[in-house]
Amino acid sequence: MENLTVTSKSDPRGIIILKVSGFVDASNINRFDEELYSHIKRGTAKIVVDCSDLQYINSMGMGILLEARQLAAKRNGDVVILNLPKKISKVFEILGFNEIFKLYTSEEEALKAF
Amino acid sequence: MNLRTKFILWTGTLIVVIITLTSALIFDQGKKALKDERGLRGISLAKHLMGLSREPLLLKDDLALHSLVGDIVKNEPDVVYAYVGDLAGKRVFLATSLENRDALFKEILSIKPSGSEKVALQRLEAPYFSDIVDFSIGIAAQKKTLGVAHIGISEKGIKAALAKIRRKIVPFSLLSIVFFVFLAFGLITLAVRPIGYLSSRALAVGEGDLETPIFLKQRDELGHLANSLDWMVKKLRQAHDERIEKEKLKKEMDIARQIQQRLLPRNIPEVEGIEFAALFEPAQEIGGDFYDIFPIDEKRLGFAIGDVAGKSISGALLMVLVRTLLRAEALDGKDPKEVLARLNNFLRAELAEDRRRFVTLQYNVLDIKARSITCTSAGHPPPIFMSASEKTIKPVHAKGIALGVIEDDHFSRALVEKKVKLDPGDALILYTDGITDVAYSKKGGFGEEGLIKSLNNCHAKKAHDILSCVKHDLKSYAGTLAIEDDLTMLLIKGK
Repeated sequence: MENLTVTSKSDPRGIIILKVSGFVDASNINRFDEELYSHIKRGTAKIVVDCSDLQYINSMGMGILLEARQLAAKRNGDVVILNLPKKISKVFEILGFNEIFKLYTSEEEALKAF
Repeated sequence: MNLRTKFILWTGTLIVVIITLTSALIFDQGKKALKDERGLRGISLAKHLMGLSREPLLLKDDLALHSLVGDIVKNEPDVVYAYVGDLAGKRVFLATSLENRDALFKEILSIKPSGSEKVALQRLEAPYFSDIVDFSIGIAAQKKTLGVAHIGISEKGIKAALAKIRRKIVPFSLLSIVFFVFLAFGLITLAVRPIGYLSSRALAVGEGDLETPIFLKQRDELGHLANSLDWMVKKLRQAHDERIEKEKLKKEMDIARQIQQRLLPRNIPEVEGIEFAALFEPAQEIGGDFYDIFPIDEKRLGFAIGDVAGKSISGALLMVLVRTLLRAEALDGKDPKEVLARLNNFLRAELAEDRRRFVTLQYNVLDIKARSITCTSAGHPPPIFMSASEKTIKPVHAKGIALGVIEDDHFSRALVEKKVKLDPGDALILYTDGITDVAYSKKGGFGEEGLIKSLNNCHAKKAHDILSCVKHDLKSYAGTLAIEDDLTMLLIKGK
């Protein structure tokens, strides 16, 4: 069982910046799910997932990101990815998710996406 | 004998003993009181007679003596005779209500006067006077004994009084016994009833009823016991449910695993100059890997490896679907990119309700004659090509998005196929992320680098041996760490 921490902050326009650190694996996948969906449920459809300190995300985690992106899109929002570490970036590339998610390397740029 | 009967028997016996003893004690006390009273009365009457008869005896006033004894017998209840006489027994005055006067007279004379001023008590000896007690006292004047006074009191009065008490006390005691026994019966029945309830509930629990709550509306030990039982049953139910859930899950896992195993090709097609080898080691719990090799037509052979996200039965069914669709579309003669696009289209519809699931698939077509391989990928880790002539080992980066994720146009646009030529000694290894993610959290993962490094050492071996070699390196990399995902590899090598 590995550690996962999720913290969130909101910018003045109501965009949520969700910082996901550590490991997203079978042991904590439900928590990751809840943390992400709690914002979408509350109607915040604009989410930046900051992956700077993300070390691992399993396929279920990727699936959750996918679904979140679709739900957000339905509400005229989006889920964008910030600062993918090299290893995770490779996972995104292999899955072709770099073709689906907007990826940014600075928070400023990411916020401009909305 | 049940608890209630036992309690009632004990309590009943106790009640009978207590009430009987109490009644006997009351009776005895009454008897004693009556006797004491009679004694005091006899003494006082004897003294009274002695006092009153002293003077007439001195004065020889026979008339007064006669009326004195007569009055006492007449006026005092239970006094059956009064007697005054001189010591010689010549002047005697006896008044009595008894019939046998002569016999009585003899009896009285046989009693020796005490001589002092103390009253002496004595029961008459003759059988027909047996319930008469004699009180006698000497009559003295100026230290000289003049005579003796006797009072006879019958015990018949006492006996009658005692009989009266008995007549009252016996029915009262019996009634009390009956009343208290019934009361005890009622109270014990009430007190024991919860035990019966608890015992029947415990039996029901033993027979499998874990649903009905156990509750007693009382705050004593039995109430606590009921609460404890209820808590225990709740825990049992939880454990039971958990076990069932676990068993269900395990069964599902087993079924999924069976489906997965049966999906794997049983016969690997024989192609001249080409060697195939596969390795599949299912994980303990999760895993959605599969591979397939099938001839498309006489000239071409399809081979693929894939990973279905979402485990258990639903994952396994998705795997069945993907494999079936893959074969169907491939045999239809479509080129690999088209096949993947069709699969994506199907899966988009299939997973419309489940947007977090996707399938990665690496699909390749071997042109047997040209020995060329067309590689396509839908979100799958790139296979690694080992070139014997160039002495290089590097990934083949065909590009594409995982199946079921994005709409057709987008999917098709992102697809980039790659071709490699499989000369003798060349090899292409297909794998899933289970291989590269081994020991990820603790050691960073075996990775593509680890795989390439391993292949560097053993690419010259036969197809099977290459896989064994990689597996060996993987296991030694993992050491004691658990391997959590399926380990799947498929290798094609030119001879």
